[in-house]
This record gives sequence, C-alpha cells and structure tokens, in this order.
Amino acid sequence: MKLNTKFKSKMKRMPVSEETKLLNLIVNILKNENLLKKAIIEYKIDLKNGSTINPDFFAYLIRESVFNNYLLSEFKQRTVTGTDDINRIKSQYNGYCNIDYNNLDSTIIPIDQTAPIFINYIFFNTQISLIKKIENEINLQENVGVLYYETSGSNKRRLRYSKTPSNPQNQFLNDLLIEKSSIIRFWENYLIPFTAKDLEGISGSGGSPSAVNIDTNVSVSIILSHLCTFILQRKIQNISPEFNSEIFFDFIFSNLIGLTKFDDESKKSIIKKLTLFLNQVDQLCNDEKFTFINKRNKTSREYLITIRNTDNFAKRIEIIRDKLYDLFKQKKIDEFV
Amino acid sequence: MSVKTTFDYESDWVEYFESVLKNEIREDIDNRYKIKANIIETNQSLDSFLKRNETIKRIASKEPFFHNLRIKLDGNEYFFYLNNSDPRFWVIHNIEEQSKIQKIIEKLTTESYLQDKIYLSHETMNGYQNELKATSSGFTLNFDQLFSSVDGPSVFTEEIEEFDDIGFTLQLWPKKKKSINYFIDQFRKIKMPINYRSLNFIFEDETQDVLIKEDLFYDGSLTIHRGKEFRIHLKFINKIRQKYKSVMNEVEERRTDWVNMKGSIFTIEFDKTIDPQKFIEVLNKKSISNSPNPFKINAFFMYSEDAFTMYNCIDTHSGGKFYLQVFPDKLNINLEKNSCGNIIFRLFTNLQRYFSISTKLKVDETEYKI
Repeated sequence: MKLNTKFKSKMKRMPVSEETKLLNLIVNILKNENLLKKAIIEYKIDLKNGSTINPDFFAYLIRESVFNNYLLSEFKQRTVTGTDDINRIKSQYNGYCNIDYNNLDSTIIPIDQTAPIFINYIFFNTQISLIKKIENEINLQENVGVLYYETSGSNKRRLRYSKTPSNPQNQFLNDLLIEKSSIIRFWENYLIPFTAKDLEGISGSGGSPSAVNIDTNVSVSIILSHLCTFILQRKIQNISPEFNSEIFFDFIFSNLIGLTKFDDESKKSIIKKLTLFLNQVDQLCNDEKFTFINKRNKTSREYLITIRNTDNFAKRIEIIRDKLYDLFKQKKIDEFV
Repeated sequence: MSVKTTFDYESDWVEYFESVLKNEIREDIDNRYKIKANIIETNQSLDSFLKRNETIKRIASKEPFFHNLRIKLDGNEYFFYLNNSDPRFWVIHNIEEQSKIQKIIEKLTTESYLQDKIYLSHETMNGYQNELKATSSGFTLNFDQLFSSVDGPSVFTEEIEEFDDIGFTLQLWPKKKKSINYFIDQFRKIKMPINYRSLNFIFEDETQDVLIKEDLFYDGSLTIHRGKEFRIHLKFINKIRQKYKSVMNEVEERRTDWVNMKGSIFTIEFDKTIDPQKFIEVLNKKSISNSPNPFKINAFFMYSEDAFTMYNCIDTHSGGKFYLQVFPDKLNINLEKNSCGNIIFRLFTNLQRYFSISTKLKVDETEYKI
C-alpha cells in the first residue's frame, strides 16, 4: 500500500489563540475536580463607580462544605511594557479588587456573598523579569496569585509560580492548576473549540472594524468553516436560504451559550465584523463568477444562499471553501479597507 | 408470500405473525419470506416523517402506537407494521421478500433525513448473548478497510497489519455456542479483525425446544429463521431498544451544555497512525465503493495545532453540529447541545468495521462501552 510519508511536512500550523488554550486547560481541570459550578468568559461587570471590567475568566467554584469561592483569572502576554500600560493594568486590577457582590448578575452567575473572590494572573510568553516588574508596579495584594508559562522551550506549557497567594484556598487552586498543567490531555481536550478572541483577525487597523487582517488567517478559516456548516445545516434541515448577520452570529456562537454573555456593544461589534466578512465573500463570489452566497442589496445585512444544488452538495461547499480561502489569502489588508 | 393486509390492533397482528411463524398458514416454507424487523433511530414525529415520504401511506389502526404502512416501490406495494411506542426508537416489522424491500429499508435508514439505523458493536452483541442466556449456532464476521483505498497517499502514515488492509465476510455455522467462542478466540490470536455482522440467537424453553431462532445484525435488523413464540422475538427487540436508549441518554447527557455546565469529550483511540487531512477526506466522501458513506458526516477545516487538526462538522442525518479534533492516533468529539447522540455510535462502530478493530471509546479518559 502507498504510505503517506509527506505527512509531517504537509502540516501547516494554524493555531487558535493562546487564551482559548488556557481557557480549555482551566475548565478541564476545574471540571475534572468537580469544582466548577458556573463559568463566564469575559464577564462584563459594571462597578459602583461607573467603570466596567471584564476579566478573561470568572467562575463560581463550589465543593460541598469544603470549597466555596469565585475565581477571577486575567490572562496577559507582554514583550515590553511602558507607563501607560502599567497604569492600564493597575486600573484594571483596582477594578477587580472593587467588585461588589451587588455588581454581579444572578441570571449569569450564582451570587454567594460568603464566597471570597480570588484574583489570579496567568502570563504566557512573557519574560519572568517583566512579570516581576508588573507585579511590583501594580502592587498586587498578598492573596493574589501569579502564574506563567511559555509555549516553547523547556518550560513549554507548564504553569509555574511567579507569586504564591497567601490564602490557603487560593493557593490550593493555584497548586492544582500547576500540578494538572503537566497533564497533556487538559491542554488538548477542547471543550471550547474557539472563542470570540479567535475571530479578532477580522479587525481593522487603528481599531476600525472595516478591514480584514488576513495575517492571522485562523479567523478567516474558522468563520469559513462556520459558513460551510451553516449552509449545509440549513440545506439538510430545509431552512430558508435567506439569512442575515445576526442569524449567522447565533449559529457561530451556539456552542458557547452559557459560557459567554455578549453585551450589546460587543455583539454589535462582532456582527459588524461578520457582515464585513460576508460582504467580502459576496464580492469574491461575484469577482470569480461562482454562486455561493449573495448580498440581497447594497445596504442591507441580508444574504441569500445561492449555491448550486449539485448531486454532491457538501463536496461543492468544500471546494468553494478552499477556493474562497485561497482568494482571501491573496488579498492584502488595504484591499479590505 | 407477502402479507397484503392491515390490522386494527397490534395483538391481532402479533397473532397473525405467530401463525405465520408456526407455518399454520403457509403450505411450504419459502425462505425468501422471513419475518424481519428493523430498529430505527428517529428524530422526528411520525406525521413529519410521513409528510417527507409521500410514497409511504399510513393505514391507521385503532391503537395509538401501532400503524400499518403501505409503501409503493417500482410499481409494487409492500406492507410494513410500525410500533412507535418509543418516539425515538421505532420498530418496523415485515414479512416481505428481502431482496425486494432492501431498497426501502436502506431509504428509510440510510438516506432518509432524521432517520438512522442503530449501531451495535461486536461487544454489545456478545453481551446480549451472555445476558439473555441465549444459545447460538453461528455468526457472520465482516471487515472492510475503507481507509486504504483512497486516491493519492494513504490515510495511514505507518504500515498496517495485513489483516487490517483486507476486506472479508466470513460465515461460520459451528452449531454450538462453545465452538463459536473457540473460533473467536483463535481469530483474535491471529489478529484477525473480529466484528459480528450478524449473530444467531436461539431462545429455548427448559426442554430445549426452540422458541425463536433468529439473527441479529449489527445495524439493528433481525431475521427470524424459525420458532413458535413470536412474543419472545418482540421481547428481545425491546431489550435491545431499551439498552440502546439508555446508553444513548447517557451519551446525550454528556453533550456540551454551558448553561448547565455540562459537557464531555468523547475520544476514539486507535492503534494506527493517520494523516488527519486524508482521514477526513474519507469521512467526507459521499459514497465509498458505490455505497453511501456509512459515516454520514461532513467536516470542514477550522485550524491546526501541533498535535491535532480541528474540524467543524455536521451530522448529515440530523443537521446537528459537532467538533472533531483529529490526532494522528485518536479522535476527540465534542457534541453540541442539540446534536444527535447517534453520531458517537455511528462513528465508533463504523470505525471498528471499516478502519480498525482496535478502536476504543473513552469519555473523559475513561473507557466506555457502547
């Protein structure tokens, strides 16, 4: 039989964000320990002083009569940091320290005023000297834990302490994360296949959402895969070929309901990006003269699935997906502006 | 001889089939017309199913869960009897000529939207033998390597055992259960891929008089050879259905549901090493060797890490969504909340039948039998 000897060289790495990997690690470990009651990614909390914070991971952990607390995790990566950056982190940290139970929404996460909130930082791909500098300059309290890991080198994907928290329960939590981070399956079992963070490749220069950053093309690939499954599902389930960006948004994030609570602003921002993406697909289809999806009219966010109803519908979608991906790759950022 | 009749009550139909079984009606036994049944996994109501399949006409009985179905095919009419007392797992009985109705059964289970077969692993079928204290006189083994006959480079990145690269069907009728076990043990010793295609079940009374002698197939179909107690056959079907349903419930309890903070990773491990991309190409084929692809899924590339490639997938049976992480030596499956648990049964048992007998199913790293 013919063996596939070119396997390794053929594999092109197109990784998902480090934040998604870290979330999978933490969720896997906490679930495995039966500690996780509820978790929210990027939970937007409005504070008393009118400011808003959104920690990367906020969870309510409970184990009968032994364990009862909230875990707030902030993920950070830095190569350099200046005064402005330190001030931003400091302000964010002060916000975390000032969370009042009344600021929490009981429809999103259970409220237990007896459960302390443990704040912890996890740094990745950041030099230890820089982590220490940040710790000192923002003056972290004794009870805050700081962990770090590298994605390459001998420390690869193994959490370590930069700062040990003083509270025994928080230390237990951090010890647990460190110990279990050596088990590869906790890194590799993706209960969360992607997050909104992984779609940030669709972003504009200077914060404008009107450009597609194809350099981080994992975003394009993830959205394209969703567009394909979206079209196929509608075909199989005999759902109308007409759709809009909001419906597409709901489809993409259906797996994250309960784990992500998008506020109106961030939902609007993602829908805007998806609209931009769908418009680009429409444009590419027009340029290349093949049918896939079409925009209903210039101003609307309404689209129509126009793919030919061939005998092998799924195969046709796959071919178009590959074609579109190649076309996206050939585009330069400024062509999308 | 086929039955061109309808029944108002299930008990009347049972009596009629029992009389057929005892050969009270037929003068000569015609082996083409055996009593057969199929257990079908369904994700829709009977009304919705009938709306989608206009060639199938329901002739109502006077009972809510028993239905006469008249099906037209190639100018002929065939009669089936449906029990849908379990809305998820229907049982369709018939006494039509096997070669004629095969197309209908395939259409109902393989090509029909929201209808699927059930998928029984070798171990599950063996388990029934032991649990039910049934004896047996034979079995059929079957293995087809669908992953080595693809275009271009092989799916496999290392040489596979010779036995794993062949296809065979082997029927053995050693007459005694003890001999069956002997053969299976010997086949295992020579690393032959052992998968029951069918296993014979003989239910006897205390005097060893045969009550029912029938074959159970891996896809949930059954064929009676002879007997005199039709209700034993129905009881057996019920046992299979209940067990499958119970495991299905467990599987579906483990789908990802972040509202209730539930979810598990299903892992299918194997002793071969594969190229994820080529592997997915086989899963994505519409047909393999002129037959519909048994996996019934479509996977679209999302991203690749050092260790695995992630695919965004649709179950073409129900349109359900799930994610597949393809490693060189295992698959991780993450089912979305509304997906159908039969994906796990279908993937696992078909990989045993068409890829490698060594596949193992694990849930959150613990081995899981289905």
